[in-house]
Amino acid sequence: MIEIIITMIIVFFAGFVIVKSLKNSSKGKCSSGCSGCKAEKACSGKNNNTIK
Amino acid sequence: MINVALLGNPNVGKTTLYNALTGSNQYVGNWPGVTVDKKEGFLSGDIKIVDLPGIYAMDTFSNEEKVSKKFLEEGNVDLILNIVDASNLNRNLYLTTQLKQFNIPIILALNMIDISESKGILINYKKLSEELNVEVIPIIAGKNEGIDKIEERLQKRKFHSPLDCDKYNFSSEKEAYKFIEKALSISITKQEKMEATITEKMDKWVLHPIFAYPIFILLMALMFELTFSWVGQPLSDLMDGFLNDILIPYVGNILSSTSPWFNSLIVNGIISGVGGIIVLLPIILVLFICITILEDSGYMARVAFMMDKLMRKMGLSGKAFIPMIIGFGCTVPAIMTARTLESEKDRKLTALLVPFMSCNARLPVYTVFAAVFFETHRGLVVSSLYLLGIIVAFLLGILFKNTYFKKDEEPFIIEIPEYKMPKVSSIYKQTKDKAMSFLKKAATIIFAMSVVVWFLSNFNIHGMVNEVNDSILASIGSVIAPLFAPLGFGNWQSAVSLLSGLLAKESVLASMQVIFSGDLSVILPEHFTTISAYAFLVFILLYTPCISVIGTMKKEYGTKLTLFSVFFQLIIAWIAAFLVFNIGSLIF
Repeated sequence: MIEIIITMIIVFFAGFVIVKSLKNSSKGKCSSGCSGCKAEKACSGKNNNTIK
Repeated sequence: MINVALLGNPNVGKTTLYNALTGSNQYVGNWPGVTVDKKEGFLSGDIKIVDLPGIYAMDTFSNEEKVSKKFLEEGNVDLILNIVDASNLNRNLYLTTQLKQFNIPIILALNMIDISESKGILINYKKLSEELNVEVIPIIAGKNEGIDKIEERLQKRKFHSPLDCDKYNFSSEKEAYKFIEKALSISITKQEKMEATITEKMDKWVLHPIFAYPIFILLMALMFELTFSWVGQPLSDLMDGFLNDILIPYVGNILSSTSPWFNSLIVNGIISGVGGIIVLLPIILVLFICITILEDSGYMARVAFMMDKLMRKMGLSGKAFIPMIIGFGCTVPAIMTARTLESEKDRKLTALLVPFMSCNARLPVYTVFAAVFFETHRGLVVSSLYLLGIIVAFLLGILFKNTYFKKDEEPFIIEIPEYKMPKVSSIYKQTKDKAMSFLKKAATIIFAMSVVVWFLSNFNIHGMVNEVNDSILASIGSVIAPLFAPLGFGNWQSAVSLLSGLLAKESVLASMQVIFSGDLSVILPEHFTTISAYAFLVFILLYTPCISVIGTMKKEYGTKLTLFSVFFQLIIAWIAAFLVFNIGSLIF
């Protein structure tokens, strides 16, 4: 039983990460790997002043 | 709430001052063009500091200037904190005269006064303040000197608002510079310099028309040797030994009483997939430390200058070298940095060529394949891939220059900064950030992909399979594998690994770890020859970087250019790998 529960948690987390990553990517944001990289703020989109 | 706009020329220390004031840890580089967007932080609860991109003037309408001008006009700014390079006031104060037009109080932060003094430039701050009718505060942002005085002024919240814009409204650039020269002749004393500065002495060699290039190649060779032979690889081998000889058997033993499928999910799926990537952390960090040292020292700005001739042949200005270099780290910010280029054609061409610069997400795949197939020439093979990316970008640049992106050449102006001793704290901070970012990626997207690949490689519609060739993954892989057969790696395992690499390049390796579930140094030679392994690496180097890059391209340049970029990269990767495999097979 515990194996099933752990597996379900793992699968849920994996699914969440993939969906979140795809969602971020479609907005032109970095997936999880951009923190600390150059122009990080531009990636995070929080203060992203898009130039038209 | 008080809004403070932090403004100045490129590479005068705006972000260093911003970090010092706000306690933030934004990336600081010793080259121009690091800040491409505005960034906001707080000194205390209600003093907002906005770091704006570096600009030389307010009237040439580049993208950075648009951001700054728009913010000054609409941002409800209470104070302009104008940071200038004290050793180069003549040029820096041109922007100051333009900022005076906004009728907003200005504090002039004279940065790098230590360097100006070493150049024999002695500034009378009181006289300069009188001439410009602004408050002048001398600082050394890099050493945190004088920051307290700025903080104190901001905390007092009473700013001198002179309303004297007419006095500084010059009819021409010439008039403005005439005024600046007069103001400086009153407030500056120049001492006769006795000897050349360290920067001047070093630049005699580093920017020498002939010796500059061997010095560059020597430094790159040293960087790759440190990474792949002397430091990075041995540390990685130690971690790999710990993973395979201690951790995996230990966890396998603990889970021996659980169901075989659960044991396999944890050991072969998660630990092998994620662990196989984490053991490569030392290699990435050593390479990143080397690049950070080169950037912080001021050398990279000189490389951009050296590369102008080469970039021009590609139809780009030397300024495009900066996004290219950033592309060696991550393609997403590199494409964003292309915004700083003046011409639309330059921006688009740079965004199309940047993905060919080998981002560090590809490094884990290179490292493992190089260790398995090219043990004695690891550094050489990996550096050849980096070089190949540059050559492909160069050739395509020439092709585009003479076709779609035909344009008049524009002059290239770049600030050549003083050499600085890279600060240990800065290297530590950036390396720590990089390590955390890498580990976060391993714990999220690599973890998720390892789980997905494990499920797909262990199940089919009837349930769990005993043989991986009967799995869902094998069925998917078998459909696309024939596309890669002419490139020498027509096995389904490679095909699905490449597919997973679209989410993150490290996933290619994590997928292989999970699918093959064993020692890759033994299993990979069963599926690849030395030539097909190199062709595989060439494909990894040149095909579409990852889904984040696709999203960024779409956001910055629209669907049409993004689709073109994706298919164009796939075709180029296929052709290059085809040529490598077939020509290589004929020769060897």
